[in-house]
Amino acid sequence: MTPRRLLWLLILPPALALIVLALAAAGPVSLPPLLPLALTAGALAVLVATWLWLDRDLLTPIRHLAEAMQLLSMGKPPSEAALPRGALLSELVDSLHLLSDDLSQARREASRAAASGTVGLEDEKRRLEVVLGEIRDGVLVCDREGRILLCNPAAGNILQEAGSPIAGRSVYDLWARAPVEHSLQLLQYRRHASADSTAADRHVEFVSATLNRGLLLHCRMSLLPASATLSHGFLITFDDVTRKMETVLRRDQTLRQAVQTMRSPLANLRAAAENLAREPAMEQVDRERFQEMIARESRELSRCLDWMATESQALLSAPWSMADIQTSDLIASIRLQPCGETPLPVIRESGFPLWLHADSHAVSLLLGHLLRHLVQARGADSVDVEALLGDRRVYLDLRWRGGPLQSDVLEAWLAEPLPAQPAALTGLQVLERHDSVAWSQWDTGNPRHSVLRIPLPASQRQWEQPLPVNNRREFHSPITSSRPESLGAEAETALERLSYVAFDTETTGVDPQHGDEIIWIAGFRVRNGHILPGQTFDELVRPRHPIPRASTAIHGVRNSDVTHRPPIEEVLPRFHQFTEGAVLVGHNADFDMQFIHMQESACGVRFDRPVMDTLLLSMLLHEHTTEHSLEAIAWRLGVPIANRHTAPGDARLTAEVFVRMLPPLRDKGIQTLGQALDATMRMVDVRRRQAQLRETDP
Amino acid sequence: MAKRILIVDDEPNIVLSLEFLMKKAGYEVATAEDGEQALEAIRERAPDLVLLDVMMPRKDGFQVCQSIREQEAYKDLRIVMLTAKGRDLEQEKGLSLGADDYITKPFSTQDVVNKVRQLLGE
Repeated sequence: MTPRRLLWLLILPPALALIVLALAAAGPVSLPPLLPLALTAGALAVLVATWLWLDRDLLTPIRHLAEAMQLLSMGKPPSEAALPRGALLSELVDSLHLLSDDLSQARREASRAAASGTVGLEDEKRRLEVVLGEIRDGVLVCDREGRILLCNPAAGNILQEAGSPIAGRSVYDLWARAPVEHSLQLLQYRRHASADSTAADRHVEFVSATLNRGLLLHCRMSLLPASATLSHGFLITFDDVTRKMETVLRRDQTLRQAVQTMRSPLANLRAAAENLAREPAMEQVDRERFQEMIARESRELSRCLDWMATESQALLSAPWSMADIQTSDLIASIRLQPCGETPLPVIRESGFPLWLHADSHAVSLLLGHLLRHLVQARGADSVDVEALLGDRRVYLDLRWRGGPLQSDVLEAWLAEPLPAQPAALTGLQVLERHDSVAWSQWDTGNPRHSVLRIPLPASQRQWEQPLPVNNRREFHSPITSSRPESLGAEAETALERLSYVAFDTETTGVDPQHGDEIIWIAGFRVRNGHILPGQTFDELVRPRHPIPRASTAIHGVRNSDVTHRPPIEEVLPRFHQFTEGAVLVGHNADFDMQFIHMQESACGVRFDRPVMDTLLLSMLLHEHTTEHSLEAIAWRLGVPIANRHTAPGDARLTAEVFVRMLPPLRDKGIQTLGQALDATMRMVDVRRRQAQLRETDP
Repeated sequence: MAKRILIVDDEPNIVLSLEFLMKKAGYEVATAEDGEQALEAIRERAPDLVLLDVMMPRKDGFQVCQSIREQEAYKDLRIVMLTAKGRDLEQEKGLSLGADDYITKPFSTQDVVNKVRQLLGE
């Protein structure tokens, strides 16, 4: 029997009964006294049965069907079990299956297309990452608020912030605000003033001091193109000029001081000499006074010259055109020189390599030139090259068996132009450029051996500890970010337009009031419905008390994992900075926020940004179920589950779940932050009442 | 018998002053204007000490110094290099090539006399 016929059959008896009753009431037909009562009761029974049947076979299946369709719209094909069975809606279910197949087919194609696009993007990104990693200057990309979105490893090394990631922080935390803001305003003014500004106008150079160590940075700032997704953001490249600036300042000071100190003795000398010359018949007493003055002032001039000579030598021996090179690399570069008419001797390197500050190409040519002469003149087919460390210089000793070179022979070699030098540069000029002289002598440590000694400026690097290489992946996708000035206006902001940080913490226990602490915080930035790759926060925290074994069993963090980690006082302010301008999203966020709030005063930060809870949102969206664990929600929304019970794993899962909740929220009429917070507050009330009910209900 | 001193410099004013100083200190003084002349004077007059300027035409002070030290006959000859102040590598080079001491220009006249006296063991 078709459902339509069944419905007719069910409606027919009460309808007939009603007709009979109506006729009886009208008069002519008389009925047995109990019949109307029986007919009415029968009709009512049939109506109730009909209603029950309609509810079971029609209304409830329709609700399930609607939910299935909602899930389908989120990319999860309906399972057989979840779909209503029975003939009443079978056509609709069949159509839903067809629709589901078509949809998943279309989605597969779309994701295939997107994947090939993503592969291209990933390649581009990797290339960019490699290039940025190779640049020795620091590179920072900031949004209009000064938040660092992207940086290269050199930036961290120059700023000596290798221990803590600088991405996500504000550029104003790193260096003085005024010069950065001034340059930014200047660039913005130029952009407004003229649409077709020349390239030179599009960047500004300035020198700024870092806040932590007072390094002087030479910065070049440019605005990012207005058309890019990062419009109003800016780019800064910078290098450390602390040492250069010191040299410049000292040189200026030396010059000023020299001019000042020399002026007076010179004036006195000149006056005395002129007086003595003009007055041959001068009194003996006067003559002696002038002679004494000449002696005194010339001593003073000598002293001044001595001082200037010492100062200028120190300043001249650090020319900027030169670069740091290790002696071993320099020696390797000699070996790579093209073969000339005279072959090179066998070069044996001895001793430890040292750092030079030199024009490595010119020095390499000079060494090659001298070595070839040694082969030719001395038959030295094997030469030892050793680097020795002097006070301010590194001595390169070329050592061979036999007597030293005559000075005039060496001078002659040095006077020859070096090969492959367009400007006919001589060896002597190369030495002069390095404020150096070369000489040859018997080797004091090696009988019957001689050396040719070439002193070269040592690099400061010799005495510097190598910086830890900043290997942390600090590459961040470009985003735009905004920070509404007040929460009042923010309440009206559409959910899709907000910036979020989905986060999770792992703790030593469940009771923050009684000493349980955070040991791991992780967060992911979400914007425009996407988790921003690379914009992550993931830091272990050293707790004040040891981690109980029971808690390690859950999250896997052992005491040895956190002994060298920073305390919460360091991590929480950083996390605060990371979440700046974002709405926080957590699963059962109340739990995490309790731990965070406990530490606020100790850490000097306040987390007063709005917090959204995926647990409450799930209750709002999926009323038909009581399963709202992160896992259950993830399964429902088709999110793959990985790394559960690690802070980054759960934070990521929360982020993915949250992203998929945004469209159904909108469909439910929850469009703004204010509406979402209101709705979740209502859910809190519902939950509280449910809890109270459970408590009163034994 | 007075000790003999050879002054080698291409700057006549310096030679004039040094000659005056050394004579006044009781030494017998000869002078030379360049490296070649210096080696010739050393051969002819066998001085006890040479005041040797670094920067000179026709064999510089380093070459003269090296030539002297190569000859066993002059092993007792004291050599004092005259170098420019602030050229510490020149002083080092001079000492490496066998000079006994150096004096930087401009110098105090008293220092020069003291240094010479000391080197000649007086």
